Amino acid sequence: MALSRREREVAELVALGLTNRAIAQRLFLSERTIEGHIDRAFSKLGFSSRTQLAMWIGALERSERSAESGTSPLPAQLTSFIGRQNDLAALRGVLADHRLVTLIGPGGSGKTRLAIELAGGMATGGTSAWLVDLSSISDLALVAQIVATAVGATGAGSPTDAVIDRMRKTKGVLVLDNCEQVASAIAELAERITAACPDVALLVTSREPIRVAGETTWRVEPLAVPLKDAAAVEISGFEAVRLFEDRARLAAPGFRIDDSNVAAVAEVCRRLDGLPLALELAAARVAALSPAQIVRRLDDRFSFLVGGSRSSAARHQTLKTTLEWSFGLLPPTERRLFERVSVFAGSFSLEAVEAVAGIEPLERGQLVELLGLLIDKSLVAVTAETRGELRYRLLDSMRAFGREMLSAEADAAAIVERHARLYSSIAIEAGKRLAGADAVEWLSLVIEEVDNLRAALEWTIEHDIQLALQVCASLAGYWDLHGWLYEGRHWLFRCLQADSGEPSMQRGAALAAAGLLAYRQGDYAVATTSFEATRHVADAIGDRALHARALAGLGDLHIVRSQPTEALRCYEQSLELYRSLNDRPSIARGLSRLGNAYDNLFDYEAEEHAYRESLALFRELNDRIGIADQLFSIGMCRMISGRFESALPFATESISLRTQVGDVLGVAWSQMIVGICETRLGHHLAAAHPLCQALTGMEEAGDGRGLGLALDASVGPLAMTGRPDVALRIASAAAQLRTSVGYSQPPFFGPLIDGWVKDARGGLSPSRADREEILGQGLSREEAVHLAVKHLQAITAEEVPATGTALTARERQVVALVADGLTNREIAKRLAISERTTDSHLQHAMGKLGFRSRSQLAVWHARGALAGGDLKNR
Amino acid sequence: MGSDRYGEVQALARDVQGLLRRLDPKSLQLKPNSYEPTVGESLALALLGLDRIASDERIDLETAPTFATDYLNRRLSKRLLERYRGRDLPAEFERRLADVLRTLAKDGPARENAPALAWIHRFLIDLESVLLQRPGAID
Repeated sequence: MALSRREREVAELVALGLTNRAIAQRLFLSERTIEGHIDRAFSKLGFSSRTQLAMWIGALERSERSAESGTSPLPAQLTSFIGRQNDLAALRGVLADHRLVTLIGPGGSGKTRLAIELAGGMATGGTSAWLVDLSSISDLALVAQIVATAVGATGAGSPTDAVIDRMRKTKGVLVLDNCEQVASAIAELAERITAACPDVALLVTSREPIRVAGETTWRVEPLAVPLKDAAAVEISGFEAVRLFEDRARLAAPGFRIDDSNVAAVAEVCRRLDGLPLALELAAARVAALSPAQIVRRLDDRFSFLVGGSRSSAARHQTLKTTLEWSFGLLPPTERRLFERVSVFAGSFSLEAVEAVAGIEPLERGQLVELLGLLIDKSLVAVTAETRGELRYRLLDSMRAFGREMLSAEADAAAIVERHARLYSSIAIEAGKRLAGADAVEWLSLVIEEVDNLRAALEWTIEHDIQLALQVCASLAGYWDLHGWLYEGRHWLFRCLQADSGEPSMQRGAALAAAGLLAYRQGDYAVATTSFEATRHVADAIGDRALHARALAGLGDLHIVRSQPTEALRCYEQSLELYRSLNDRPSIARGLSRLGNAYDNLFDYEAEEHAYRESLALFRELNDRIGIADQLFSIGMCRMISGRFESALPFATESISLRTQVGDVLGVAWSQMIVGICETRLGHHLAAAHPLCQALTGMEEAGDGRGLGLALDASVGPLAMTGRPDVALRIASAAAQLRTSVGYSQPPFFGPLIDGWVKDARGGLSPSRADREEILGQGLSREEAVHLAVKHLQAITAEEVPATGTALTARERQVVALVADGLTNREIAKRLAISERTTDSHLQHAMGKLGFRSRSQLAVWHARGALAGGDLKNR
Repeated sequence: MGSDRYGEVQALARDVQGLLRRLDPKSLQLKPNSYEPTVGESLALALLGLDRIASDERIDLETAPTFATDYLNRRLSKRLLERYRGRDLPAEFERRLADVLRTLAKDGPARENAPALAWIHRFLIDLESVLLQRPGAID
C-alpha cells in the first residue's frame, strides 16, 4: 500500500536521522501528528523500526533516480566495460537455459558490473531489466519490500505477492545485487518468482551461492594477468592491463602504456591479482605517481588503495572496506580460520591447514567444513590439484587483509610460529630424502611449497637462527638441483651473517651448503673460504661426516683449478671417513668424485671403474639423481677418451632421468656432452640443438663455468658449418668468461677448442680473424649466448628435412616421445608396445629421414617438422 | 641390547601380527575422519620406519614439533601407500618386521640398537591401538 504524500515526507526526514521533535519543527506540525504519520507508514509497509523505514526510503530514492535517467532502471555506467567478453557470451547462453543464475566471486571482482552489462544487453525488444541493490539491507524482513519498490510493484497484499503480480505480466531480467547478507530471504523470493513468472530470469550477485533449487552458479574470476616472464608485446592484451590503462586515462588523460612502464603495469596487475576494484583504485593514482612508484607502495596496499569514485558504494571506496564487508559477514569460527590461513604464502594443502590452524578455539575436525565455507564465500580459492589433492590460496589482497586481522588476535604469534616450524620440518625432512628413492617426489614438494618455505626462512632468521641454518642446509641440494643458485646463496648469506659464529653442527652444514652453491656458480674464492670454514667447524665439534663433506668440496675446487693430485687426496680422505661411518649414499657420491679425479689424471680405466661402482651403489639405493649423475659421468669419460658413439647412450639416458627429476642444470650438462659427441662424429645438425639447450640451461641456472664450456663447445659446429667469424667471436667470449669466472678448461677441452679455432681462423684472413676475436672479447655474457644460440638455430634450420609425412602415425608418436627425452623402455611402456617394437619404429623413422641419432630426431621434432600432423593428437 | 626390551618387543610384535592376520582387508582404506590415518596408511608408515632402521638411518623426527611430525607422517604414509598399491600390505609388514628383529638380534647387545628398539616398540603400540580401536578392522 502506497504512503501518502505527508507520510513519505516524514519518512524521508526519518531517513535523514531527525527526531520526531525536529521533524515536527521542520514541518510546523505537532510531535503527536508526526508520530501518527510514522505509525501509519509502519503499518502500511509492515515495519516496526525507524531503521527499516530509513532503508526503504533509500532504496526507493535510488529506484526513482534510476527510472528518471532512462527507460531501463539499470544505472547508467560512467566507465567502459573492459574484457569478460567470454563470460558475457557464455552467461547469455546459461541464462537462456537456466532462469536463476548467481554470479559469485570475491568482493571487488566485478560481479555487479558484469551483471549490469549482461542485463543491459538483454533489455531490448520488449524485455525489461531491473537492478535492485541490496548492499545496505541486512534485515531479512525488508528484502521483499525493497524489491517491490525497485520494480514498481505497488499492489495490495504482501510485498512478495506484489512483486509476483508485477513480474507475471512481464518479460525481463531482474538483477538482485549484493545478496550475501540476506541470502535466505533472496532464496525464498527467488523460488517464488521462478515458479510464478515464466518469462523472468533472475541474476543474483553474491559472494556465495544463495542455495535454492534451480540455482546455477557462475564464478566471476579476477581478470587475467600477465605472467612474470610475459613478453612486453603480449602484456597490453591482458584484461587486467587493459582495465588499468582505461581507468588510468580517466585520471591522467595522457597516460599510455609504453616500453618505459609496461613491466611496472604488469607487476601492478599481478600484485593485485587482477582484482578489478583494486586495479581501478591503483589506476586512479596515475595522476600523481608512475606505475613503478605504485608498485613500491603496494606493500602497504590498504592505506594506498583508497579514494574510489564518489558514485561507488561505500564499501567500494577503498580496498579495505570491501574486504571488511566480506569479513564482517563471517561467523566467528570462519573468521578465525580465514585469519589463520593468511599465514600461508602462495598455495597450501588441507593437511597443512590442519597442522597450522587446528588449535583452539578451532578444532581440527571442523577445519574441512570451515575451509569449504570460506571457498563458498570466495575468500579462499581452489588453485590446483596435485597428486589427487586439492591446493588452495588466498588472493594477495585477501592474504594481506587476513594477516592484518590476525595480528590483532592474541594467538597471532603462535600461528605464525606454527607455520614456520611446520615448513622448517618439511625442509629438514626433504633434505634427508634428497639422497633417497623418493627424491623426485620431495623435489616436487619443495617446488610446490617454495613460497611457504621462504616465509618460514624469514621467520627462523629472526627467531631461531640455528633452525634457519639447518633449513638452509637442508634446502641447498634442492636449490642446486633446481638451479636456484642465486636465491640459495642469498638465504645462506643472510643466515650465516645473522648467526653468532660459534661452531655448531648447523653452522657447519650451512657453510658446506654455501660452499657448494658458490662452487656451482663459479665463485671459487667464496667456495674455498666456505669449505675451509666448514672444516674448522667440523674439527671444533668433532663431526666426521661434516669433515668429509668439507674435504669433498675442497677436492672439487682442486679439480676446477687443475690440481687433480690434490683433489684425489681430498677425495680419498673424504671417502675413508664416509666408509668409517658406513654412510652408503655418501660413499656412492665419494666414489663418483674419485672417478672425476682419475679423469683429470687421464686414468680413464680407473675413472670408469669408480663411476660404475658408484652407479651400482646408487642403483641399490634406488637413487635416480645419483644414477643419472653416474650415467652422465660415464658418458663424459667415454667422450674424453674418444669413444663418442658409445658415450651417447649414457648421456642420452642421463638427460631422460634428469628431465624426470627436474634437474635443469644437469640436463644442460648432459646436452653439452651430446652436442660435443655429435660434433665429433660429424653430425653438426644433431649437435646444434642440444648445444642450444645447454647454453640456455646454463644461463638460466647461472652456472658461469658451465656456460663458458658450452660456449666453447658451440665453436665446433659453428666453425664446421661455414660460420668462422661467429665461431671466433664465441671462442673469444668463452675465453673472457674463463678469466672473469676464474676456471681452467678441462684437459680434454683445450686441444679440442684450439683445433676448431684453428679451422675457423683458416677460413678468414688473419686481420679479419683478429678483428672477430677482438669483437668477441667485448661481448657480454648475455650477448655471447644470444649470438651462439641464434647461429646454432640457423644450422638446424638449414639442414632439417622438410617433411615427416612419410612416417607412419606410430613412428611419429615414437619420434615425439624420443624428443621428450624418453628412453626406449619408457616409450614402450607409454605406448603399451614392446621395447623391440619401439626400436623397430625408431630405426624405420631414422632410416626414412636419413638420421643417425636420437638427437637429430629430437631437433627435427623440435623444429616442428611434424607440425600439422598426427602428433597434435597424441 | 637389553634382552628384556627385545623380548618385550618380540611379544608385542607377535600380538600385532595376530591382529593383522585377523584384519579385514577392506578396512585398510577405511577413514575414521578427515584427518586420522587409515589402517593402510598406518601400516605404510610403520614400513617406512622399518626401512629406515634397516638402512641405518637416524630416526630423528623427534626434533620436530608434534603437529609437524604428524603432517610429515601423513604425507609420507600416503605416498608410501601409493607405492605399495596392489601388494599385500599386512604380509609385507610382517615379513619386514621379522627381518628387522632378526637383524637386531644378530647384532647382539649393541647400544645403538636401543633407539631402534624403542622406536619399534612405540609404533607397535600405536599400530595395535589403531587396529583395536578402528571399528570393523578386526573380525
